[in-house]
Amino acid sequence: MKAKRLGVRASAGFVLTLGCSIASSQVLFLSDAVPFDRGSLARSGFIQVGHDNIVVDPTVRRYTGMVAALGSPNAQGKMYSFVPSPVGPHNFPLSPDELRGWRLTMLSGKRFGQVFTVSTNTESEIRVTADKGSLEGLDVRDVFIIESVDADGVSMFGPADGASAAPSPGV
Amino acid sequence: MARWSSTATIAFGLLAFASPSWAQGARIPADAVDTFHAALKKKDTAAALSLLDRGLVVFEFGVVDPTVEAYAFRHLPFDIDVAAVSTWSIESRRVGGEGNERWVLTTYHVTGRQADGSPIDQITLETMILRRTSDLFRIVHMHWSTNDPKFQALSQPSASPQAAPPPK
Repeated sequence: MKAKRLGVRASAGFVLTLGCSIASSQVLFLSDAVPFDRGSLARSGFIQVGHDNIVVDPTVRRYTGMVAALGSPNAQGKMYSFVPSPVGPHNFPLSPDELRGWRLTMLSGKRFGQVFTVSTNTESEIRVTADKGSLEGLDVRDVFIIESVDADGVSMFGPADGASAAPSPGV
Repeated sequence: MARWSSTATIAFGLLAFASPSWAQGARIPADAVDTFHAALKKKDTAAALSLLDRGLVVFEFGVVDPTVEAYAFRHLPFDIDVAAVSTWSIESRRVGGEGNERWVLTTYHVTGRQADGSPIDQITLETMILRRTSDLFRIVHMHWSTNDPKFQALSQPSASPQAAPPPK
């Protein structure tokens, strides 16, 4: 589809940045489960990242990352926290509780597509609320996105009329 | 009546508390496509993901997202942002296939405003291939392109130096 504020140069930079990020963090997006011929893909000359022709402002703030380490289980043996590693196009140095109330969606691994709500965060740890269950099944190197959308699906960012908001981290 | 009411209450309750991240899909292929677009419009990442097969491959304007994880990580957010500020009106649709593999071909008239205020007014072509598992269809391949001449002019030169004809 659609979006992208990136020109060709920006796209190239994005590709390089993401490529380096992924390579350095050993995130494997090319799942072995996918019967896709990687060799022919490379030989075809297709660029593996790209977007389209429409330029829009972000509608929510986003933080993307990878699970660097699992948190310690609580007294009941349930785990609700993990240590993130910033990966991808949407990340920034975390400030305490900056992500409080934001929606976390797992984008890989056993918890793919599962949604949690951030209860609190420090510069190096993210903790989720208990109402959507614990993080059992989460694994190191799983990737996720955290969006400034509350538990009711309402954006916590930007004016309602869709006008551009002031630049801020994660945008 | 009371029995119906109780049943309806339970059903409504289940729907109300159903997380969109739970396995969804759709029983009708075109519904899966439309529900996916609706999820983008609602900025519902998990609902959008639930309509995608884990074997998803995306072709978009000459580029590739080779896995569902890659699409979700670096591309889906942009699609959500575009969906939020644009309207996709179906101009035509054809469906086909049989058994557990179906296709849905749709043309959309896409309108809206870009970040700089300039209008969005283009035709977007969409090919969706869907796979049925556990009685529900999910999208296993997406391919979008547009008739926007500005984008064609922009994208083709950048792709051509290293591009070879795609394998037949």
